[in-house]
Amino acid sequence: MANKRGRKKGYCPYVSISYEALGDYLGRKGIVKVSRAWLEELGYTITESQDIVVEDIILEKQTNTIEEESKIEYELTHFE
Amino acid sequence: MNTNLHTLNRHNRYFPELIGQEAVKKKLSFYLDAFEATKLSPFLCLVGAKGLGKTEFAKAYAKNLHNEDGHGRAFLELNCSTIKNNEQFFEQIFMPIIHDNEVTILFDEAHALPKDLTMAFLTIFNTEKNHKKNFEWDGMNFEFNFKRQTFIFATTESDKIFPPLKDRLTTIDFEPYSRNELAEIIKLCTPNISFSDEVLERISKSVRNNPRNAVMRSKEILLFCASKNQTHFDESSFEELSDAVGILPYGISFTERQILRVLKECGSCSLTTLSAKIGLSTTAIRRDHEMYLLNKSLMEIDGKRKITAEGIRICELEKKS
Repeated sequence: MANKRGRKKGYCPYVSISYEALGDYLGRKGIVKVSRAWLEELGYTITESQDIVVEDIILEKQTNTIEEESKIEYELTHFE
Repeated sequence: MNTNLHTLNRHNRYFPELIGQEAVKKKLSFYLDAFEATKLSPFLCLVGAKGLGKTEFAKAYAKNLHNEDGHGRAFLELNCSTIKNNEQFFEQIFMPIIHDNEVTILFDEAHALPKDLTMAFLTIFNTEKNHKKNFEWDGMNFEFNFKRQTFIFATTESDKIFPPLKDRLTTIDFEPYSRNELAEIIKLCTPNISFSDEVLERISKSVRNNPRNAVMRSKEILLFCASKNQTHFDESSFEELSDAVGILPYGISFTERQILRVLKECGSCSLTTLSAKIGLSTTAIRRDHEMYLLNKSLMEIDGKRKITAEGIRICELEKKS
């Protein structure tokens, strides 16, 4: 008998959460990735600078990760 | 006779807690005497197999260096494999810790220094009469003052250090430890435990010529004695400990024992056959396991791999136990 694969019946990749509850986790200035189409549907006009902001955040995160990874290991001993 | 005694006392004064490596102690004591008069130390490069005590000696050497005000000089230990480039070194290490400070710096695993820093060191350590050196990099000037900063390098693979850099360093070679010295280390690390000479000989035989292993074995002995509430460690204690933690004759590993067993079964075989039977790569067998068996004359290579009479004896011993 073949193994059952894939998602369970009724599975949905999305969950509903109130804006307030999400805000508790992310704070008011937290960045949330949303669908461009959905945002435009709401009537929001996406400017070019916003694309850059998102890219900058991703880049900044990557740079921080690289910096964290490349710390020189050392031990400093003070003799009495 | 008196001169020898004087020399020995001087070694003991500088390195009272370290056993063995008399030639290393003698050379380092000479440089420490010179430092007391000149405040200068050569750029040392400690070379030896892993576990021979290079870092311990570097630390002990640094402990004997004093600042101008007489206080002990700080000791900075860096692992070179974590240094990626000049920028990272000057930003994270030189400016905050070395610049304008009195400090001894140990570059451990020096063979792993990045290329650009190796090139910078060629310029920095190219000193003739002056004890100061200014190094310009990326539009900035970094001052090295060798009366305030002492540099030591340590490596297991001196052949991988760029030769012109090696030429600027004073090499200190470490020797293998004798069985008596290893026994001394074990006694030093187990101060409240008594041993018979025979058991000390057996224990020191099991630490693979390596003082670091001797320290680790001592810790096992301390745990054993604490759990049994005893202060004497005899042959039967060693048998019991060996059985509990898996100590094999000559301190060989389980893979090395497997190699001996395969060679005993086959008579002689090629490295490829050995690799197929053991399930390890030929490189791993050659680099990590064969060397110690060859060192202890438990196997030999004469075109093909063969077990020696002593190797066979070890296998038989194992079978009996």
